[in-house]
Amino acid sequence: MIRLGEFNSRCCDGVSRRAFVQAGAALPLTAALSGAQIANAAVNARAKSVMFIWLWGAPSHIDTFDPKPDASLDFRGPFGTIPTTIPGIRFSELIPKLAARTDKYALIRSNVTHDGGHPGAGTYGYTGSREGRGVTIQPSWGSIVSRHHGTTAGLPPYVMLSRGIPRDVAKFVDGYGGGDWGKGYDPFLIQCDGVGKVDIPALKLVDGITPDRIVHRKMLQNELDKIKRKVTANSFDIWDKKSKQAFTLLTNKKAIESLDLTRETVKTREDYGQTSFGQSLLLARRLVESEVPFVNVSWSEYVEAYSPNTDFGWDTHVNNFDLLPNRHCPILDRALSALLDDMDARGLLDSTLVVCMGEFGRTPRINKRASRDHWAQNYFSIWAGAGVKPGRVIGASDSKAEKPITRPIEPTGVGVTMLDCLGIDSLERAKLNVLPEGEFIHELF
Amino acid sequence: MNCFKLGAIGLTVFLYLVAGNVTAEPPKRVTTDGRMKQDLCFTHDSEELIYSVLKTAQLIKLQRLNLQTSEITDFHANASTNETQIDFSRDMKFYAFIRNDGNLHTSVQVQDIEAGEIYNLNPGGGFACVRALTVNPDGKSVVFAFPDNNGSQQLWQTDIQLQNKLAITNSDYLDAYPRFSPTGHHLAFASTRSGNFDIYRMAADGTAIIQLTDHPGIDTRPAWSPDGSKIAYTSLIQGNYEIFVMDADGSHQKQVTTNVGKDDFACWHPDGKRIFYVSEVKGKVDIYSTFVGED
Repeated sequence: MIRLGEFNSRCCDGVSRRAFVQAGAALPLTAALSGAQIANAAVNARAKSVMFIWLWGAPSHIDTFDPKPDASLDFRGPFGTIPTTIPGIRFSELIPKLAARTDKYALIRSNVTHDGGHPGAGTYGYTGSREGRGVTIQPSWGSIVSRHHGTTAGLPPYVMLSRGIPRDVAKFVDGYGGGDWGKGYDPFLIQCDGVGKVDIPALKLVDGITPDRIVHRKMLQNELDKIKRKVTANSFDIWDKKSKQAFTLLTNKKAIESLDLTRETVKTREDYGQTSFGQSLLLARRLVESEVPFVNVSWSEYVEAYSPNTDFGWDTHVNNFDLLPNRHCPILDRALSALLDDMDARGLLDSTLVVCMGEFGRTPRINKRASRDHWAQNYFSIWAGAGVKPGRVIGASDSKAEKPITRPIEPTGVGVTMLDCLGIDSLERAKLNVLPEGEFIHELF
Repeated sequence: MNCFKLGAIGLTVFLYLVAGNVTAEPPKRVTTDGRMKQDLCFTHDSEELIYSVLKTAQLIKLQRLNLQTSEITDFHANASTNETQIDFSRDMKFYAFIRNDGNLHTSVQVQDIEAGEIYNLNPGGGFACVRALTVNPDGKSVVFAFPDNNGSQQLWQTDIQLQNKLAITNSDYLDAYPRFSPTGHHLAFASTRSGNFDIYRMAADGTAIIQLTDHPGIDTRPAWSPDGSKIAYTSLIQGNYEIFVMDADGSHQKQVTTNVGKDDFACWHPDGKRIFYVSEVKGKVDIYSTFVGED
């Protein structure tokens, strides 16, 4: 017998559960769960899908959702505060739409992580574990869902909406995908630009097939015809798993429709804003409507806020007080507000957990470059749907937003809560040999 | 609705317009692509509007809009990195802009058009970004915002060859978005000296600083009218960015835009009668123009 580990967590109903699991060779690591097991897990699930919105590069918490108007100027910065719908709770003036919608979500102000660098904190944020030389990379939240749930209706179970795998200019995040489970559990990458044009990079792996941007159904059909002719001429077997997944997706009517933003009204598309992030959130909504269980939307591919050939992440070591009011906060404020309104109006928050966060916060004290650096000791996350009680702030930071004064919420807790809501509770996780640590965030429900 | 109510509404609208809070004509849409734009600047011959635009997901380029033909072209056709914040000398012999030449790093570049010379100012190694710049209309100096290594941000002046750098403010705050007056004798700028961003003006040598706005939200990006009598600026009021105009001494502050989306980056047309600005309407970011009538 092999001891897989000790799992401490709470289930969604708040009942503390301690599961000590032992398993033998009867559960090889690569085994998929049976249909019955998935069905049982689904009974316990309070969400069909999780939408994990990743503000890559790490937004400043003190300039957005956790302002400290009474702190000195070298901490609080130049931005004013505005009231929210929660009595006594104020946000930065940079996010007025989200301040007016606090009745739709809960805010955690006591997140912490354990790595002050982007790739490391990214891996923590995606897996709950660290990366480094000789360290086995754990599968990401979406990969766990992917393995547990399997493919349904031709749609991949773990979709990442991003220009690419999250990275900084130096390296990729190790923990974005299947980790030591292999690339078969990596996310299925879909790109969506500011006007809602969709690209599927996996298709480009097939020699001679260049789907480019798929906007209209007619255009898509033309591309598919090309692919089919190519497939006839070549062996389907030469394709790797992602290419096959892409082809399967594109030959499935429901899947095709879920990727077609032209099926939305003009007003809906306008509400999200003509930005890659906005249209990606709209696409994410369509994917959870099609019951994709885990959709990750990344703000950007690169963390860097302003560097050549990168895509304007939240890493504002410079220009924090320019980029936030001029660009980043208006985009976030519009797009996330539109998503919350849209999800709410369609009743999707009943069956979807929406989580929005970055990998850490930013230095509460303004740095020597009149901006803000990395801050792992305190940051925020936004939670909506799936039974999360909205209109509340969970946890609190100290007077300078430097550290929590309430129970710190760690990435493992974020992961446990997301997975638990999808019915992948401590027992299921034990069977998969993942996430032995982490406390369910019961305060949210 | 009875006649009395209709009459009252009509009178209210009339008084509102007469009071100068808004312009009578609706704003005119100048671009239609919906991409993110900022940093508008007219050439002094009034023929072109230059602005920066998010051309691709990874590239901000300077573009020129010919106001006669409506043709839009890249200002630097071969630019392969982000370029923003262009400004010209009055004689159009020089222009300056900010170039993203490294990881979290920008530099100031000046082009001497006649001589074909390019001058470059690297503000420092590592992460270092120049924030905003303005060219003295006389073509002899450039002023830009840059941190002074202790958390505050000053305005710095160089000659047009980007030599002889000198701090012209010395505050414990963030001084930003400098703009030379048409005569070159004054600068308007935004600063957090009051605790949040407000608009200030001073002599071009950094003396005689006067606070022009005092409002708890952000006031930023001042822009002088061509005759120097007025300053347009952006103000964040009740959660929305709007364009305001005031007299150059800070008096007669008037709201110019009322769009429910973000209005920002005001720039006066050289005729002094219109303001061009960037506005987000229905999720699309484009350039609009509006007349700013007399009281």
